Amino acid sequence: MADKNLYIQHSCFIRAGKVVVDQSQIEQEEDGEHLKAFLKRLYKSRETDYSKFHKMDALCKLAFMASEYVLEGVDWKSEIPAEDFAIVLQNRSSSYDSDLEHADSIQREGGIASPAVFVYTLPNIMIGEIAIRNGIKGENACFITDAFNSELLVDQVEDAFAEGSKLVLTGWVEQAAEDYEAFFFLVGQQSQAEKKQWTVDNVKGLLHEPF
Amino acid sequence: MENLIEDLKKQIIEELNLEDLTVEEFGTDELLFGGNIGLDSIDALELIVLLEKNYGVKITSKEDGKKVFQTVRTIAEFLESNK
Repeated sequence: MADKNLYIQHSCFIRAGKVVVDQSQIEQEEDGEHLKAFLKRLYKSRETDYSKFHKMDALCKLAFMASEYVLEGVDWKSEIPAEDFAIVLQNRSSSYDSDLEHADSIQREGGIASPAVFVYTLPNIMIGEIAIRNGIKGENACFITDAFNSELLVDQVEDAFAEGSKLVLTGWVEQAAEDYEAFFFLVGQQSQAEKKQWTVDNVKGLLHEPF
Repeated sequence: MENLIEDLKKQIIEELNLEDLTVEEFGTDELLFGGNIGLDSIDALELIVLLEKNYGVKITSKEDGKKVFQTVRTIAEFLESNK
C-alpha cells in the first residue's frame, strides 16, 4: 500500500527566467540572455566543479541545475543507502532538440554522426546525469506526457515509496529551443511544520504560485 | 609540428566542449584519459570522428586508439606519420 505520509522537503522552479528555491527567488535571467548562457551562468555562479556539465545538452543542463538547487545541503548519504533514492521525471518534448541536432549532423557531416550529440538522444539521460553526479542508485523512470500530469507524478512517487524508496527526486523538465520549464521536488518522510504534504493539491498549488 | 599541436588542442577543446580548459593550460604531454583532462569513452569516439573529419585519418583498431590517444603529442605524431 502506498505511503501517504510523504512531504515535500525542498522544491526548485526554473521557469520564466527565474530560479526559485523553496519559494524564494535566488536568480534571474538577464535581458536577452539565451537559455544555454543562462544555465552556464547558473553553473558558474555556484562554483560547481563538474566539467561534464559543459558536454550536456540544454535539457540535461536544465535538469542538472534544478537537481543541484533542490539537493543543496541535503545530507541524504548519511541517512539512506544510495539504492533507496529514486528519481521520477516527466517531460513533453522528450529529447527532441538533440534528436534534431543528431539528424542535422548526419546530413551536414556527410554521414558522420557526433557521438557526443547522439548520447543525448534519450530523455532519461537526464536521470543518468543526476544519478552519476550524486551517486544515486535507486529506481528511476522518465515519463513523456502531453502536459505536466500531477496525478501521475504523485502516484508514481507514492509507488516508489511503497516499493522501498526512502527519498525521491521528482518533477517536470521541459525544453524545446528557448522554451523551458523545470520544477523539481525532493519528497521524503520527514515531517516539519513548514513542509507541505506530497499531494496533488499541494503540487498544483505550488505550480500556481506567482513565481 | 607545434602548429599542428596547437590546432589539435583548439579542436579538442571545441569539439569535446572542454570549457574549463584553455590552450595554454592544455599540456601537450598530459594524459587525455585517466589524468587531469579526464576524457571518457564518448570523448574517445568523438576524437575518432574528429581525426576522420578534419584529417581524413581513420583509427580502426582499439590497440591503435590506445597508442594514438595517449596525449596531444601522440596524436600529432600519428598524424605526421600518416601524411
